[in-house]
Amino acid sequence: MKAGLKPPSYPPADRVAITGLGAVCSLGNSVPEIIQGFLSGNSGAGEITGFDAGGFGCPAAQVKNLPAFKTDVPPQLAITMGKHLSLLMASVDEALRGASIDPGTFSPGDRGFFAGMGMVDYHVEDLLPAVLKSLNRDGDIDYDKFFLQGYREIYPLWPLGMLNNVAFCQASIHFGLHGENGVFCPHGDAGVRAVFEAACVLKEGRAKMALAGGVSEEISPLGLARARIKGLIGPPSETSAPAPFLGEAGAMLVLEPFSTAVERGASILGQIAGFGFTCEKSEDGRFASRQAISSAIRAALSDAGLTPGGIDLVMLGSFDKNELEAVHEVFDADVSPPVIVATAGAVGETYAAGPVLNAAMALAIPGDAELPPNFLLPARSTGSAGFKIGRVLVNGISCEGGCGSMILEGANAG
Amino acid sequence: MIGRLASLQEKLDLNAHTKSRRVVVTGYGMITPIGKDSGETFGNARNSVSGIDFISSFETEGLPCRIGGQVSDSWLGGFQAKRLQGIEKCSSRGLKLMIAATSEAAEMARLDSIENRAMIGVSLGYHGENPSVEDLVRLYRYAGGESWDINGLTRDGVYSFFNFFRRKPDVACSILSILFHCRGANFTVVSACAAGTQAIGEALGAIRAGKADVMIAGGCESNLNFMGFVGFVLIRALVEKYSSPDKASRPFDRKRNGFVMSEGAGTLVLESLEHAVARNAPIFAEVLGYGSSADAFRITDMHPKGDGAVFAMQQAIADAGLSASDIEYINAHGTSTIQNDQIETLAIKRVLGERAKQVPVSSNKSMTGHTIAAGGAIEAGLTIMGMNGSIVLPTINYEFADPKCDLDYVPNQARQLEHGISLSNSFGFGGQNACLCLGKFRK
Repeated sequence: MKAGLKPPSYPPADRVAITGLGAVCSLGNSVPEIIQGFLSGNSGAGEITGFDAGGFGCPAAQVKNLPAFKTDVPPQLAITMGKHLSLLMASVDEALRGASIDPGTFSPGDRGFFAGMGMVDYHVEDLLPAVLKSLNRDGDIDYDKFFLQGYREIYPLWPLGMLNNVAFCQASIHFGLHGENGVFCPHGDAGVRAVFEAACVLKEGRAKMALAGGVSEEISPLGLARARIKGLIGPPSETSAPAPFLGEAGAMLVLEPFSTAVERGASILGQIAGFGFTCEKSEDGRFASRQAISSAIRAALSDAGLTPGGIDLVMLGSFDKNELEAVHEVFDADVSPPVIVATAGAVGETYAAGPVLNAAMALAIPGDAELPPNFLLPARSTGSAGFKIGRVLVNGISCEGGCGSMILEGANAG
Repeated sequence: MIGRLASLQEKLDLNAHTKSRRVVVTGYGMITPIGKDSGETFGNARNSVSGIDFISSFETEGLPCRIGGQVSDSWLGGFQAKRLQGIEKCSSRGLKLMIAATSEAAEMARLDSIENRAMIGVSLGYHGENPSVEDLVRLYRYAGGESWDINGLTRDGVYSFFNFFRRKPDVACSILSILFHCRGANFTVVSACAAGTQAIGEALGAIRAGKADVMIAGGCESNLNFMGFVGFVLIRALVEKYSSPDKASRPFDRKRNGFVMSEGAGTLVLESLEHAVARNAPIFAEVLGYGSSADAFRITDMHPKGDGAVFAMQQAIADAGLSASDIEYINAHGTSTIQNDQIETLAIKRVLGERAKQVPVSSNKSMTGHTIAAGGAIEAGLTIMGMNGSIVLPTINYEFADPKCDLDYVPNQARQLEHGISLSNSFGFGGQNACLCLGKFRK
């Protein structure tokens, strides 16, 4: 924590506390496992499993060996919901347990739930039987056959695979979350938006607790193809230079009004300090513009009543140079610029989960930890003595131009 | 009556003090199966005109449902050439509908006159475009084997960049922000049939929290293509028994048997009161409150007692600082499915209590069909127009009373009625519920 900072300007009545953290990603299936992997400098990137991805020639950071959750979902429907459901359930479960919230802690209507959900895709195997049933002798599709009979081979519930809110609703059922809710999609800004909306309903007294977080895409052929076409991941590289890669993750925060958290004796892990949102595409159309990102950061600083000097740590939300340049633009003039960490190098581009995963990691890193030099920008050692994470800036950015920045205060903040 | 008005004004004044910012509607627009804009849609709805007909946009022979609510292509034609240009290929039909609706709303609100574009945001309910049958054939060619031929799949002219991005919901929101020069908060809400209402509710929150002065908020959807349509056919959600297309959507009627799929878009321009007043913008209504909830019951069924719907309505009323006795009209979700209409009726009774049968409740979907994510936004716009014109729109095709649906559904003919406080309901697949409390603007 930097010395000599003013306390935040927002009034105590509006303070929103963070009382639980949950996350899964390629580094581990819980926040402690992830922190251990991250501080060891590990990367979760590896060869893609689950389908033959040889044609893509790229690695990915997949989540493996997720804990199984018993639900009453019919097996085929569970397949349709895919990994989205598992990633969401695991992170919600850990966050609620960490916050010591059980079914009786709050009435069901007082439990809000907001999530950014990465893209979901139809399953090709749900649809292709209809094509196979409709082929003529030359192997081409006979459209008459398709429209009259073939379509009946389509798996009836296939559209559910395209609805981002289905896994979210299933998690609501499992954990009894009946209160205010919202689902946004699909990139990092959606994760920040989810936290913002949760904080709003708590401040307005429309819920007493809210889960807020995000889930990435599942690593799938369609997702990889989309990322390749968009330029988020490159073609197979002939050089040894590290290339961006996709990752799977789910991450969740438990938020409560500060007074509620204190009243029930919850451990307060941090608090929300400010948000900023903008939107503008870069000229090449691949990402948000540098200007939009720096404006979102400045808006979040203003919302928190802080100057750039008040931030100790910046957790980058992407691999993109525009984000790094925007961070430098805002912070480089400060005499003591913040430490900049690029977690995407460890966990990949995790879309809507990214900013919330970063938030959870920042709040869980022990106060005396030495951050892994290979994920710092520029690469350097923070030293193990004297570095305390107080205020953290987390960005969530969409390649369609949407930018969200949020500032959190850790337990080490003054 | 005077006493009640005084009491209502006191409640609204009190709520205005407790909320950081009042949020008003300074523009609205829509494109629906019964109108190319809000005026035509409202006029036709007032005259009980149905927009449902046999589908002409794709071959429906052999399907158990062959009807829908289509928007005429001619209503989109000239606009495409003028505004979309280079990004047209990225633009789904749903987005094109949304651009039409938003153009109307933006013009009404005189959005172009606002200088600080960083404080104008976009909140859109939308789910992206469905894959086409041709997409399936391409996928069969390049992904039907044991591994994906990604180079073949993405080669120019085979399966393009644009196919993927029409599928991605947030691309539409981003393109809207470009076309209407909005550099503020931008987000896409994906909560099925509740998405349009949720997008408006979230926009309300963004303005109240000071994150935007103005928000373009609404929803759009176009599922009238073979793959989009057949999905609903296969789960047997669509109406299958109808004497003629215009009689098929019959919310709350005993002979209802499924919903009619339609396409459309609706937009509201929301604005903080002080911003609207400062620029002398027209003010059409106030968004008094918003509530959302989850049934958290079963993915494929509503809660049998309507717990989630009740909670969303109660939250919206409470957020407005009002009580159930202040509600004068409810624009129902009213899909024409057996389950929804019965449970929504029960939920309304639980919220309004003894007054339930005295409060008019109607379903615009009886005329427009179900436009999915667009529904909530279109219905919010029609609700506002109804309050300002002292007209309650009808529920058409109401012929056979269902003992389990026993409210005043404004059957078949619009009604002249002064009303100033309304609810607009949307309930999404999976159990997400949303409700807006809208009020005639009072200074």
